[in-house]
Amino acid sequence: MATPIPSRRKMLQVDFFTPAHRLSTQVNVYGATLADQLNDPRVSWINLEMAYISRIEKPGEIIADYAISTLRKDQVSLAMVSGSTDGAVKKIAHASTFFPRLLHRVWVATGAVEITGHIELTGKLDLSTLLVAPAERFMQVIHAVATSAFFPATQYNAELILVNKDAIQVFCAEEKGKPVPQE
Amino acid sequence: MARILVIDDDLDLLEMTRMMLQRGGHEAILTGDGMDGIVKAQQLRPELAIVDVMMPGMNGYQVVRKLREDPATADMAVLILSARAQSVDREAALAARADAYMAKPVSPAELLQTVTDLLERRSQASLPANLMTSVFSLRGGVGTTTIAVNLALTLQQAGRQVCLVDLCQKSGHAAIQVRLQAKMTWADALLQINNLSPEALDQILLRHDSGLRVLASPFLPPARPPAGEAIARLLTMLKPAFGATVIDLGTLDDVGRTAILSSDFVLLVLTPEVASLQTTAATLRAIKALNVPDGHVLLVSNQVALRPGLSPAAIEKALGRKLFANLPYDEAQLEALGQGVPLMPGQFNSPLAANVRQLVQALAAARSARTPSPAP
Repeated sequence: MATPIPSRRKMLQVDFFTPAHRLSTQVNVYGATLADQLNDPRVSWINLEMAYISRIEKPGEIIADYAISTLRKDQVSLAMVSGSTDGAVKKIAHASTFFPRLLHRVWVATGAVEITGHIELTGKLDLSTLLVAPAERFMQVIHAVATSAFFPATQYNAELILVNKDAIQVFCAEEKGKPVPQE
Repeated sequence: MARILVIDDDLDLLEMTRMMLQRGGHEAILTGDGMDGIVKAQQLRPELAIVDVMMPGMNGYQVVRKLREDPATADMAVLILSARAQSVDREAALAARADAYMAKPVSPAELLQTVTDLLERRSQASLPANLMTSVFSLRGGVGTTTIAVNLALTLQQAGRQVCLVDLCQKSGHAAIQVRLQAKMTWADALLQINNLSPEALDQILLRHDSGLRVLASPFLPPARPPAGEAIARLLTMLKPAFGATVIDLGTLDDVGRTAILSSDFVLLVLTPEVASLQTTAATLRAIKALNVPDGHVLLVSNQVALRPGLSPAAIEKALGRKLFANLPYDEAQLEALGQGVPLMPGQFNSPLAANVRQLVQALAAARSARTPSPAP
C-alpha cells in the first residue's frame, strides 16, 4: 500500500503593513515558518492567498480583495501575527547556557508605525550586532503594540511582529534585560 | 431555539459553527457566499446572522450594510466573526451596524454565550414599550402564577422595569413566590382609586431585590368584587409607568375581562390533560365573545407533573389552534416553590427558565409580526 504524501500546506493568518496599506491575508508557510520566508534572500516576493486590502489611514475598511497576490518583501514595513504564532517563527530551545536569554524592552519606529514590545537575546545587547550583522532581514518583536504615528488612536496588538530592519528609522532598547519566564 | 444564519467562506469553519449552534439547541442555516446569505436572510428571516468579514466578492461589512438597508432584515441581530482581530476591526464592524464582534478563533462556549446574549438583547429591544401581558387560566393548579412570576423576572433581568400584578381575588401567591410580604395590596389602591397619586401607588407596590415591583393581592377575598372600572383605572396608571406589566389572572369576571381587554397579549395557560382542555376551550369561547383580536390570545401548555400528558399535536387538534409555547416539566420549579426562591435569575438554565426566555423572544416576534412592515 502506498504511503500517503504528507501535506505541506500550512496556512498562517498575517497582517502585512506597507507604508500605504494593510493587507490581511493568509500565507502558506509550507511546513517552515513565516520568518524563514521573509528572511530568504533568494526570493524577493512573498505569495499571498486571499488578500484583503485596507488603506493605512482607514485600516478597518476593506477596499479590495484578491484571491492571488504577491508582495515585495523589501517594501513590507512589518508583518503582524495576532493569534497563535505557531508557524510564524522557529521555537527557541531554552537550554541552560552560561549566558541566559533575556527580554529587552524596545521602541521601534518605521516612519508610519511605532512599535513597543520585547526582543529576546542571549548575552549583552549590542545594537550594531543586532541591527546590522545578522543576515535576517526581519527582526522579531514579541508581545508588541503597534501605534500609527499619524493616527495615534489606531493601535494594533500582536503576539509577534516581524519588523523589516531596512524600514527601521529609530530603534531604542532598555539596556538591562529580564530573564525569559520559564514555560 | 433560534434560527441562525451563518455566512463564512471557510467551509470547515462553517461546519464547526453549525455543530456548535446545534449543540446549543439552535437551527443553523449555512452559506459560504455573502450575496447568497442576503437572499437566505430575506427568505428565511433568521433571528441572528453570524457573518465572517474576509469573504471574496462581498465582504462581511458589505453584507451587514445590505441587511440593515432592507426593512425585511434590518432588525436581525448580527454578529461579526473575524480573523481581523484588531480594535480597528471591531470599530469597523460596529460602524457597519453589527450588534457584536468576536475575533477568531472562538471557543464554543464563548460563541454560544454571545449568541444567547444577542438573542435576548434583540427580544427585549423588539418588545414594545409598556407591554402588558396577562397570564390567565380559569383552572387552578396549571402554573399560571409560576409562569407570571418567571416571565416578569425574565423581563426584569432583560433590563425592563417590570410590575407584576396579582389580580387573583383569593389569596394570590405571586408575592409569596418571590418571598415578599404583602403589607399593602391592590385592595388598598382601589380604596383610593379616584385620588390615587403615582407616589401613593408607588408606596403600595412591593419591591423585590431584582428591581421587580409587585402589586400583591389581598390575603382574604374582598367583601365585594372590585369594579372593572376601578381596575381599568389602576391598570391605566401602571401601564405607562413600567416597561412591562405582567398580570396574574384567574377569573373572567369584571376584573378578568378588564385585564384581558387592557392587555397586549393574553397567555392562556393549560396543562396537557383532558379536563384542562375542556376549560380552555370554554375560556377561548368566552374571550372570543369579548371581541378580543384573535392574535392577542396565545396558548401556553405547561407540563406541571412528571407523568406524560397529551401531545402538543393532540392539544392543537382539539383546540383548533397552534400552541404558542410548550413549557416542560421542571423539578427545579418544585424546589423553587418550596424554598420561595423563583427560578429566575438563580436557576437561569433550568428547563422552565430557559423556556420562559424563549417565550419572551416569541412574544417579541409575535409583536413585530403584528406591527405592519414599513413601506419599501
